[in-house]
Amino acid sequence: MMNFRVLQQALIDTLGAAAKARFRVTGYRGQGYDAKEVKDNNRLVQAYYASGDFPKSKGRFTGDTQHVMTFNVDFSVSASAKADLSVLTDSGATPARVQAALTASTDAAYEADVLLDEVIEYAYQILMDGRNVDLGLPVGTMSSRWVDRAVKGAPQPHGSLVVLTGQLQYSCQVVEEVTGDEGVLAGSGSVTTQLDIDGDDIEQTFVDN
Amino acid sequence: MGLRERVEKDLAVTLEGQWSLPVNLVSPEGVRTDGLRGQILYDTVRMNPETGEDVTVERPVVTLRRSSLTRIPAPGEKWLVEIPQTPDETASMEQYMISPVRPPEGGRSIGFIRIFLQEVEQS
Repeated sequence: MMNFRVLQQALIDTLGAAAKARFRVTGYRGQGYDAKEVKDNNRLVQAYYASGDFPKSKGRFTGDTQHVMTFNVDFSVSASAKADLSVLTDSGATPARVQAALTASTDAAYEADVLLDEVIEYAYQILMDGRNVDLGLPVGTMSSRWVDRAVKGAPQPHGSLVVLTGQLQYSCQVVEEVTGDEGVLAGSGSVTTQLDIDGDDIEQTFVDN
Repeated sequence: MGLRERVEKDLAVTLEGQWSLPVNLVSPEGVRTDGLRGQILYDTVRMNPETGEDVTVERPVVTLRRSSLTRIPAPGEKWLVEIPQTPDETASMEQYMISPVRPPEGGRSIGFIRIFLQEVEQS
């Protein structure tokens, strides 16, 4: 198995082990998620191999190669507005109290922004933690790990919720061994042939190769 | 009676008639107006821009008769809106805020206002 696949799993395992119910990690780039699903799952993190460069040494055509790769760690959060509903639904509350509760209410986009900032901080601190410099792999498997970039999307209203996405780009370097294609093992299937043999009246002679 | 006036009067039937549901409003000043009647659309169909597919989105839209309101919600204001959880007269009321990204719309000449809602939870 090429090292980028090993690293992807190590990245997912590292984030997943440190998540502690603060977010949920999936190891692939999923299809679209429903805003309700993201909200019910708190914050969703998807880690996947995004791109890789294989710099070519002058005059080399065979042998192991360097693989400088980038993993995307995508975040999706979803939030609703927040307000002190105990006051707002209290028919005995004075208009002044209700007004204060409405003024203090926060917009869903703000709540989503706070959630995203938190999960970006969690993931960044986990990935840049000195203890995770090798993502739990044997020393020397990978090098030059770095979180290069953080990106935040624009809040999008999804139904009555607001969804916000973000991304960290994590790069590192490994040596890929070129083992060549192993091909596909021949199966053990059989070929059944009916032979038309003179004198075989019922023609039920089969040869199973 | 002019045509616009007649259409506005018809809202008493089309918006506040038998198909209507109860709506409560709380204005930014904290003034509660209970017992309003309006039409509520609980789901809307939108197109997923990535796939071109139609998807049903849970996004309640409330349409009210302007002349039944003592104060008209303006864009950017924080209003609490209570509607039944399901399209049932007796269902318990659920709280929403007016969406800050989709201002209320409606023709002043026709006399209704359409309000887009955002979920709200206890802070």
